[in-house]
Amino acid sequence: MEYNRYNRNNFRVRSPVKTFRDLEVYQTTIKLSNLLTNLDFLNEEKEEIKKISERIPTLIAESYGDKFDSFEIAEKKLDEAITLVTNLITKIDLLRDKFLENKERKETLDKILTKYSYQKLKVLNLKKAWKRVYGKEGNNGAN
Amino acid sequence: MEQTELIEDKETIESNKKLEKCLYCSGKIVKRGIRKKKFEEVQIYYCKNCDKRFTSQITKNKTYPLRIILDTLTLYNKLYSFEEISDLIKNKYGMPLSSRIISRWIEEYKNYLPFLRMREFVIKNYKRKEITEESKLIHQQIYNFKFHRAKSDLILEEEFRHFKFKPLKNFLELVSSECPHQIFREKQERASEKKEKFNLNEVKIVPKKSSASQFANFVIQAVSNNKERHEVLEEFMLYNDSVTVAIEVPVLMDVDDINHYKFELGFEIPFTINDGEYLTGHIDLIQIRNGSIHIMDFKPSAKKEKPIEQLTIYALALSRLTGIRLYHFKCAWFDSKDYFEFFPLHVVYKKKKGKINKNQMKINLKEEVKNEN
Repeated sequence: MEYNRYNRNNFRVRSPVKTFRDLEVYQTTIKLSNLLTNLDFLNEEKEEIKKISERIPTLIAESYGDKFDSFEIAEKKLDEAITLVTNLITKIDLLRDKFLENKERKETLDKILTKYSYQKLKVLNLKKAWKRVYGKEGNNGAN
Repeated sequence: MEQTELIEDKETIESNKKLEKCLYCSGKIVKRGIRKKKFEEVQIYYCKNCDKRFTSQITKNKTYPLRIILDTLTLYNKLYSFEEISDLIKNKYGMPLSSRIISRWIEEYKNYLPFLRMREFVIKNYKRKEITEESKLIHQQIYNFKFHRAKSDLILEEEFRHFKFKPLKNFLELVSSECPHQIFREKQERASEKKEKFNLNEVKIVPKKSSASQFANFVIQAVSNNKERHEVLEEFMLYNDSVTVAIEVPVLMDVDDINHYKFELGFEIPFTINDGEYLTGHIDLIQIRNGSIHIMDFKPSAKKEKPIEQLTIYALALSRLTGIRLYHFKCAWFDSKDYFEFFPLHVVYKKKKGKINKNQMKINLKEEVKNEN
């Protein structure tokens, strides 16, 4: 790259994560949300599930930015995201019970359920890590 | 205890501790039978020259295999109690272990356990789960990233000059949850495979005696498999020494980083990266000691290798990711015998010839003032 074409302002924040879009939890929850909303056997639950599943990555993205200003706000948003994942898991569980006899649908929902449970842990770990670095107690790390 | 597990362990234990020459006269040796001990079988060697039969020193007067001793010491520094350690060892290897033996080993091998001086502080201030951060990074192969939180806190607080390395701790803290795994999973160029050579004028490679080599010498005898050696050594150093803060740390650089070094700082870097591509790597060991961050790489035959490119790229990437100046980094590679280190800054930045240093400028100014008066 020639020096002339090179723009100084392009430097990113010194972190392996350029933007919230690089966060793995954000990417996976987006994928899962699409997977859920594209299921063809959802009826009256579809709207609510769509609303909740789309809110989760939004909250993660917002909290990524907020943590630089105030960790408390970011923490609240991540807590909300965790609560929403729990709600979603309950909703999928109810659906799963509804389709107990349909093996294919049950398996699809099972897979999504496992992935969401894993993402819940990931968000929780992200919150803990951010707390250590950006939170008040992050300054010494010791209990 | 599963039978297969025992057999596997036996094999690894037996195939280590190979001797190449006579311990007494350095003459040629031959294998002469196997000695059956209580928990392991040991190769006996015979020297035709001095007519002596002997075994490797590492197994001499030891009932238990070295691997079990290593595991026990590591578990102790992971803050397990004697009772818990003997239960864990019994479950893993099927061998009974008394508290007396454990305390004797700790006393005997305390030279390899500098962490003991920090242990009391760590017990008081941290829960066992919080001492380390561990995560399995499933990149193109599996990397066991580990970060010793308690030790890094202590090192940063212990010496004032280490205070400036706090960004490194913050970076390591975020690796498990923020690492962009998707980039590492794609096939990116690896720092260890980079062929472009840096200009090595003015770079001094200094051979030194380091405790890292002593650790390697001690640990390697317990494991025969080369890949396993790497892991066992890294883990042993992380838990038992007083300077290693993290192992298998993923780092990456993109075109912006390279441009920053080239045009902003004027560093000589003999390659570029295409837009959207990354240069990735995993640092074996990161140590904080003597006011510098040491990036270390274990190479089985250190004397024959010169991984300067690889280590310099690691240092450049870590410097960019943490915001710590390259001046504070040192790179080193080692095996059980040798240890070599160099400054990565000297690789990429050369002193400009003809440039007047500050002291010279002051003298010149003083002379000018005198002449004017």
